[in-house]
Amino acid sequence: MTVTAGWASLDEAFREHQQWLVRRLALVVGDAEEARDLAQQTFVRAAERWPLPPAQDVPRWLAVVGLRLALNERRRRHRWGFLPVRDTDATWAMQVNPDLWCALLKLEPKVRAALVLTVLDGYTQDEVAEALGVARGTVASWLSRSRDRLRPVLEERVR
Amino acid sequence: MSDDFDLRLRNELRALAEAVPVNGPLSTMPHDRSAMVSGLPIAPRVRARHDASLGLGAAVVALVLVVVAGFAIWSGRNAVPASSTPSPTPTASGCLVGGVWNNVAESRIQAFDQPALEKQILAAGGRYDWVEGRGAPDTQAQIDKFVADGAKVIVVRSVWSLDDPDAPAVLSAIDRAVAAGVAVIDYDGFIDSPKALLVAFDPIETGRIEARATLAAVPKGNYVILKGHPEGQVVPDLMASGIHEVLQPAIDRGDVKIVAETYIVNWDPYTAMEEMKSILSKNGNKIDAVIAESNSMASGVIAALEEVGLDGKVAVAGQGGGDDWWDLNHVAAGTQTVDVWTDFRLMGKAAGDAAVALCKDPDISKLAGTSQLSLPGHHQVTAILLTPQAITKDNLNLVIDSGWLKKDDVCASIAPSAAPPACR
Repeated sequence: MTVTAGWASLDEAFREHQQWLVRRLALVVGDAEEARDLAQQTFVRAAERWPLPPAQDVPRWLAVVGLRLALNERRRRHRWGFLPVRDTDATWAMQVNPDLWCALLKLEPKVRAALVLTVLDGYTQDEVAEALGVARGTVASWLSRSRDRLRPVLEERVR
Repeated sequence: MSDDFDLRLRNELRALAEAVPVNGPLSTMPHDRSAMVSGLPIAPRVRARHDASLGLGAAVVALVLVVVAGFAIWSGRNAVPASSTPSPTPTASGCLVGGVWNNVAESRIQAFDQPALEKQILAAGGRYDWVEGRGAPDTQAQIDKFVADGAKVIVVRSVWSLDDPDAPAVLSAIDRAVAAGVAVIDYDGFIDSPKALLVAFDPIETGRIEARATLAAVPKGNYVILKGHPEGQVVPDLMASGIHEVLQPAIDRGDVKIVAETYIVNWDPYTAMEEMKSILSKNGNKIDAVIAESNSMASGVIAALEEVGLDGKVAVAGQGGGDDWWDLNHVAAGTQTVDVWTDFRLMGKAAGDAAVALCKDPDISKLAGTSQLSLPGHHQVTAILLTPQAITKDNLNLVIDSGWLKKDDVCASIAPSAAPPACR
C-alpha cells in the first residue's frame, strides 16, 4: 500500500463526496446531524479499507456503507458520544417543502433510501436491491407505494 | 403525466437535499414543534400507556404517536438477562414512575434501557409512563407535569451539555419536584444536581479498566490518550482521572510515557483518525498504546494505524461496549485490545430498582448502595455507579452468549487461523 498516495486519494474522496453523502443520508434518516455523524463513520470505514479495489465505484461504496449504517438498528449513537443539542427538527427541510418533508417522514427509512437512490441518483431498481440487500420486487413495490403517497402532496402543491 | 410527476419529485427532492446543512453549526431547537411529524430515523416514536386513567394526556398529546408496530418491536426486545429476575414481592404497589427520555431516537434506549427499567417497576407493582423529551427547554415542563400527575419518581435522561443555557431551568424543575416529595433519577446524564440520584456506569472505573487492560498488554512504552468532547461534559475528565490513576505508577517507574493527550471535539471518529495520523507522524510512528475514551474514537485510531501498517501491533483501548458490532469485530480481529462493555440492560435495571426503592422513601440519602461522585468543576452528586466489563479476545463470548450481539457480526471476516475462541 502506498501510504501517501492512499491518504491523498482518500482526502480527495472526502472533499468530493462528503457533502453529497450527508445530503443523501439526511433525507434518509431525517436529521442532518445524524447524517453528518453517519458520513463520518462511513469515511472511517473507508479509511480502514482504503484504497478500495480499482474496480470499485467510490460513491457507490460510500452510499451503500452509509445507508447500511443508517438503516442498521443496532447502530446507535455512542454512549457519552452525544452532541449537546440535536437538530432533530429539520428546520432546513421545513423551510423548503414542509408538506413533502412530512410525507417523506411517514415512509420507512429504507423506502426513503430507495427513493433517494433511484430518483436523485439514477440508480436502477436492481442496483438498489443489491445495495440494500433486498429483492428487486421489494424495491419495486416500495417505490410504487411511495410514489402513490407522495403524488397527492406534490400535485396539491402545484395547484 | 407520470413523467411530470417524476420530474417534479426529482426537483423537490433535490431542493431538500441542497438545503441540508452539511457543515453548518448545530441549530438551536425551536420551541414550537407541535406540528412536526417524527423525524426520528430509527425507532418510531412510541408512547407506552400502561394505565389509561393516568390523565397525562393533554400537554403531551402533540408529542405522541402511538405506533402499534413500534410498540410490538419495543416489547419484543425486552431482552433483560436472566440474572435480573425481579423480586416477586410487590413493593411499589400503585406507585407511578415517570420517564422523560431525551433523544429516544437512539434505538438502544427503546431496545435495552427502557424495557429493563420498566420491567423492574411493573414487577414491583408500580406503574410506568413516559414521554419523549425534546431537549432541556421542554424537560422542565415535563418534570412539572409528572409531579402534578402524582408521580413519586421521575427518571430523566438528559442529552444536553452542562453549560446549556436551559440547564438551570431543568435544575429548578428538579428542585421543585424534590421539594414536593418526588424523587428524581438522573439516568446517565451527569446533570449538575445534588438533589437527583445519578445512575450510570462509573466513568472513573471505566477509565481504570481501559488502562489496566492496556497496561497488561503493553507494560512499557509510549502511550496516547484521546479524551472526549472538551466542553460541557464531565465524563471525559472523569474517565481520564481513572486512566491516569492506573498509569501513574508505571509513569513514575519510567515504563510508560504519555506522548500525547488530547480532547476530540464531539468524540468524532474522523477527527480522532486525523489526530492519530498527526501524532504518529510527530512521533515517527513510535507509539505502543492508545487509550481512547470511546469506541468511535478507537475506530478512527485503528484506521490511522492500518494506514501505516501498525494495526494489531499497537494496543488500542475503547469503551462503549459494542454499541456497534463493528467495534467488537475489531477486538475479534485483534486490532482493538479491549472494549469496556457497558451493558445498558444493567443500567436500566439498576435505575428501575432504585425507582422502586424511592417509591417507598424519596430521600436519596437513605438509599442503599449509593456513593458520592464529584463532577469536575461542578457539584458532588449521589450516585449508583455500575462497574462495566472489560471485553478482550479471550472473553468475547460474553457479549455473544448474553444475546447482546450476534456471533456472525462479531466474528465477521475473521480468518479461522486467527480466530479467538469465541469465533471458532
